Amino acid sequence: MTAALERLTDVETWEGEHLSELALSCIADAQDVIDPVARVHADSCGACMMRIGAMALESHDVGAALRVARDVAPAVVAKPAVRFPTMLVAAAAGLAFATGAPAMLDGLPRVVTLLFAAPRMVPVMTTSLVALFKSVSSGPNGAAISVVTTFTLALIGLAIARASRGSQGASS
Amino acid sequence: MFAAAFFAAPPPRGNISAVTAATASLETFSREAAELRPLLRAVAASVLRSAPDHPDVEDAVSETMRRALEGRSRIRAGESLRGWIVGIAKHVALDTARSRTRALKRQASDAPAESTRDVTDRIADTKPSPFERAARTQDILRLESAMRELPEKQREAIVLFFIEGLSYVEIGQKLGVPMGTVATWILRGRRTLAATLTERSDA
Repeated sequence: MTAALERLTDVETWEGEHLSELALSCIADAQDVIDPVARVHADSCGACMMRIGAMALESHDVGAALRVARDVAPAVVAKPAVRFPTMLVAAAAGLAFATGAPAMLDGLPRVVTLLFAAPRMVPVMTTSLVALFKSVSSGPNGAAISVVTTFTLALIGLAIARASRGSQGASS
Repeated sequence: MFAAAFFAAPPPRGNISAVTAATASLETFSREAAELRPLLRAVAASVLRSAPDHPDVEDAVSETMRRALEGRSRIRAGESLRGWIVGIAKHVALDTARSRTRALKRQASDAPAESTRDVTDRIADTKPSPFERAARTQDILRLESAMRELPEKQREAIVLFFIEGLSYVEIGQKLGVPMGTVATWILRGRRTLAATLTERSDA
């Protein structure tokens, strides 16, 4: 970045004969971003100096409050959560679809055949699964499985609650 | 030698960085603190509501410099020199203002000066400011609310400046925006937060 971009422009610096609020704010925050002429004015103009002092106090108080807030409630100053890259994912999905379309078209007849067979397959598979679960839960390990399942569900619920709270804090 | 440089007229300004007790040598500390002298004069003048060239203002600045030099080891890691030394200047100027008020009262009542002098005249103000006190209470939720209402970029700039200690230029580089934009975001964000804090302390 060039030095020119690291300084306020004249339009940003001056407001009539005095320094603009933006320039005063920069000086109050001890940022070396205004030109030397403006700096000389700031050091010699009583009115501007009083405003700089008031802004420096304001800045000090806001900074102190934010630092206390960081210690007491870190979510106040937490960095924003990283956003889900929706556009990138959509672009990747579109690209994958476009390149995979010919292969998908080739496999379309098999998909259609499978769909027609589904009404006959679903009852058989459902009955099998029900029988399987019944045998497991009524077996000698049924109680243990129930306990483990309940515990796992509780852990998942806790994790979801924590994740939800974390994302709320990060987005604040 | 360093003390002489410390109290002398400020040298040409450079970029004022965050100074920590761990990294700042006495020379670095003295140089960077001296660069802040005009800012400290502005703070003292603002608190005392006096002209910047008033003797009380200059005394307050010198006292601030002296306290800063003596207490520089108390800067916490990551704390910016500007914030720390402005805090000292504020307390010194408030002490001066109180002394002025008491002196005026003594004159008015024609009371003997030294024998009945209030002991608080000689004690530095170590109490937290109303802002700091309020921020330590449950009202911090209001600050959180105000932060949440800030536009995302403005909020990010505020956090990078006040918490991470980055300069405007560094924030601009990090966020990929011109420095002037960062300055505007911080000005607006700070004003909003200050208004929230003022409401809180008035309540």
